[in-house]
Parts: sequence; C-alpha cells; structure tokens
Amino acid sequence: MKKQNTVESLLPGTGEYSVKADFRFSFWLLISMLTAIVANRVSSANPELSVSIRVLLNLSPLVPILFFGLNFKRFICRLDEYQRRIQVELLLVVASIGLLINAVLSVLNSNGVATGDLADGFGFVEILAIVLPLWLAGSYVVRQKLGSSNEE
Amino acid sequence: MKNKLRELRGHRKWSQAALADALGVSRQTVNAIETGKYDPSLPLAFKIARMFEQKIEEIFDDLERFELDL
Repeated sequence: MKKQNTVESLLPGTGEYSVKADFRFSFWLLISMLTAIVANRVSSANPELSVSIRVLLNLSPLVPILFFGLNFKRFICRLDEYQRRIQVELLLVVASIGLLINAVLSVLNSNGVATGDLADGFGFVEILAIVLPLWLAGSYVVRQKLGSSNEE
Repeated sequence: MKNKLRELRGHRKWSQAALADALGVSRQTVNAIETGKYDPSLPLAFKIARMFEQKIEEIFDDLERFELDL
C-alpha cells in the first residue's frame, strides 16, 4: 500500500512536520514566486522591451505554477478521504476569500481609492501572500476543531 | 451516525495510529470517525467491518433508520 500523505506533514508544530515533505510540496511555488519577482523587476527596469517579450516575461511564473498544480493534485490525491474532503472545502473557502479581497481591491481601484502598490491590483506574489497564510491558518483551525485528539 | 469503533478498537488494545495504519488512513480520520464527526465512505466502512469481522450495521448505527422503517 502506498504511504498516505498527511496535511500535518506540512504544518510546523504538529509533531508530524517534515521539512522534506514541505520542501517537496512548496518547491515549485517558491520557484514561481522567485520567477514572478525577477520577471517584475526585469520588466519594470527595461521599458524598452517589446510587448511580446514583456508578455512572455510576465506570464513566465505560470510555468512553475503549472508544475505546482500537478504536485498539489498529486498531494491531494494521496490524502485519505476525510483529509481530502476537508482540504477541498478549505481551499474553496480560501479561494473565495482571495476572490473577495481582489474584488474589493478592484472596486477601490476603479474609484481611485486604492493607492501605492495596491493601485495596480494583485500580482502572483500578493495573491500567494494572502492565500498561503489563510490556508495555513485554516488547516490549524480544522486540526484543532476536528480530529486532532491525541487519544490512543 | 453512532458507531462502536472505539469500543472495538479498545477491545483489541489497538491504538488509533495502529488502526489507521491498518486501514490505510490517517489517525485524524480514525479519531473523527470514532467521535462521530465524520461518516466513512462505503469502501472504508466495509474495510472496517472486515477488519473487525462484523457486519457494517453492527458497527455503524444509523439513527434515522427508525424513521425510515415507518
């Protein structure tokens, strides 16, 4: 039988946390964030670049995101049925909150209220900075509320 | 849905982790089933029944069955 994945292996402080599992899970995400930062810097530092090159540069983080998506799907598929259900529900909540924040920002932006960094809307890094802590917090809450007893 | 998984496991002196390993699920799942927070899928319920050599309905008690019988 294949070894089951557990969400706890990605959550520090649960006693089951594994740096190796966490790194394997987050690797493409980190690459994607780095790519987004580099692409953003290069794009803004070189306004003379052609539109096609800028489009390619700005969409380049999507490639590692695709790999992360595949990795994530594999991770979810190897969770047991209870943890998979919880994770799917949690991801729906996290995605909804992310969408809501983006929608609020968009409304503020269209009315000229959002300024500074927020005036251009969210990029990959900002979205990940919202979604990841939400997912981590949600996973902790779920762990505390459902089935986290250490009873033997 | 009520169940007597904890009772059966205790009778065999198995830990939640040992039962979880045997069933191929996480300990959290075993705990959630025992506390009634999660009803297992049919394949998992069959697996549990087979493991304890009992029928599914002997382990899991559907509280609504009395209403259905009417």
